[in-house]
Amino acid sequence: MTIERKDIAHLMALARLNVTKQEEERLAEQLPKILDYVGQLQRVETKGIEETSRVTDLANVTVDDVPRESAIEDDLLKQAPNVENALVKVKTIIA
Amino acid sequence: MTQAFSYEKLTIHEASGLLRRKEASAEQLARKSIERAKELEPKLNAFVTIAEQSAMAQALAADQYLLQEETEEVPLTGIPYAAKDIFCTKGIETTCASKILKGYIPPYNATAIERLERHRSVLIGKNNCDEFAMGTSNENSAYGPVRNPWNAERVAGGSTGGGAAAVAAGSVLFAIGTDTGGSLRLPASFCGIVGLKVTYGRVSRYGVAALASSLDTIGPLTKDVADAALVLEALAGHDPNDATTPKLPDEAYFQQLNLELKGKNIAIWKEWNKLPGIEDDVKASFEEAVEVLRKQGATITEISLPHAEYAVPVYYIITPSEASSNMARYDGIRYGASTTNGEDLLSRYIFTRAEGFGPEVKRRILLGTYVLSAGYYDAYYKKAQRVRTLIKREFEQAFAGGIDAIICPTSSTEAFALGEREHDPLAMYAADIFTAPVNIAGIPAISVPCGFSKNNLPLGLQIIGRSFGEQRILDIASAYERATEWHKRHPSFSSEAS
Repeated sequence: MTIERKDIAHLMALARLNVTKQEEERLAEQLPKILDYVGQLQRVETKGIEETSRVTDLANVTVDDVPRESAIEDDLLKQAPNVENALVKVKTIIA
Repeated sequence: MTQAFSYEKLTIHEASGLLRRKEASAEQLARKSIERAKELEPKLNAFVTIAEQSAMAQALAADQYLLQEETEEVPLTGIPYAAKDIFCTKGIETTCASKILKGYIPPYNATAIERLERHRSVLIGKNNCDEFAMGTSNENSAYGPVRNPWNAERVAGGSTGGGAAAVAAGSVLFAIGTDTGGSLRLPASFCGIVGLKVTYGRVSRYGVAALASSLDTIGPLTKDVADAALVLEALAGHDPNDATTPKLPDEAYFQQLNLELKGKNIAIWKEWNKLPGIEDDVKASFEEAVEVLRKQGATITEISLPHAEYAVPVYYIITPSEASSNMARYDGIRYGASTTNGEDLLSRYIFTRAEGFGPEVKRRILLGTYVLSAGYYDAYYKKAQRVRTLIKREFEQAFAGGIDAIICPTSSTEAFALGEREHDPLAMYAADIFTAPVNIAGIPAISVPCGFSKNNLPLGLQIIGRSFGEQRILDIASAYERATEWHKRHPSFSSEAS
């Protein structure tokens, strides 16, 4: 499996991530090895086998759609690095 | 109050007796715990936070409760414990051992913390761990590696390494952590204590930072099996805030411990010693453990699990995939650390994440993004989910055939040296070969001490059970433990007599 520098750059853009030059060197070496390793699954015959995404029988568990009071709004807001007038402040999105 | 006990060796059930008989107070235990945790911190690095003030307040409240005339049987009341730093703790910083959550003070408790608070257990602090629980050696923490109490040049195992080190060293009586691919059992094995991985859904994960949502479980690290049963009783059960927890009747795991091994059918995972890299000491101690079980009256058979060896590659597709999506929430906007770099919103996200996440987290995010991207999704993610079905089915068929438990070593090696595998992700991932199949199948397993290597490092026996069959593996583990002395050994530190 080959994964090139430009692929890593593309993945970083998709994942909203950035790495240092040194990290990039290391990833360029490591990622193909990891992909080769997990690639051994291709040897396993899985024709007609369904996929498992959950292991218990629970499916579509819902709660009643009833609004609840939250007593922690202020504490939640306090956690945001940048708050103004009880609103979370971010950089300009639409100029 | 005279002190006729050595705190660092106490189990929960022993300490609970001391508290009931007024031979110790919760305040005294909490003070001992904090002292020891602080004293050993330079050696072990097992804590990110020691919450002295709130711990003492909780201890005093527990003592108040114990003074009342009619108190219910409350085995966890006044017991000092620690939680992996990925459990949200109201008012106490929760970092996930990551720079990106530096300074984050959760406004609420995880359900597991809430339940222990209801039992009046005393939260001493937050344990160091691998960043967002990604790791098998506890070297991926932004706060530095956790060291093994048996040998400070060795890893404690990950990702719940701080909890395992703190329990093994006798700082706290138990710790709670998470197990996604082996993160409770592996450190338990490396540190010579008991680690219980529950059935997926048995314990609520509400308020615990998610790694791989289809695999994550929560469980205890304790000094013995009876303690694991006690903590599980407090943690288990349906929670409306975690949709994966089924509504099942409560079980009295501790009261119902049945130590009779006669008539129990225990199967050895037949292919276990065909897997690569198993150390001779591990083989010898496992074979000895099998003989102990046989002598105690268990019927020993073998069971073939031909696909279980693929669990690690399945794990390293599913986990990065789910992790890459779970990690998307850390953007520096609503909580945690945020950078001042970046001119617009997008670049601020990118800088915050680039500065906040460590190398293994980045590696898994990129790997997950890759295998989920168009063109690769079927070849990797879907394929892994299909192999997952095969692994799960093999375990189901084994248990349907009347087996009570499947056994194998917990780890293929003793605790390895710090730095030894740091730059070799594949060697690091291989540490999960015996534990990952259990998570892939979603079933429970327990690791109990079963010997020591020539380097005087602990080794573990893994006992795997059927879905929601925690009681039976606790029974077998407890019977094994009664017939052995391994769990009674404790590490000694240079400052004290051994």
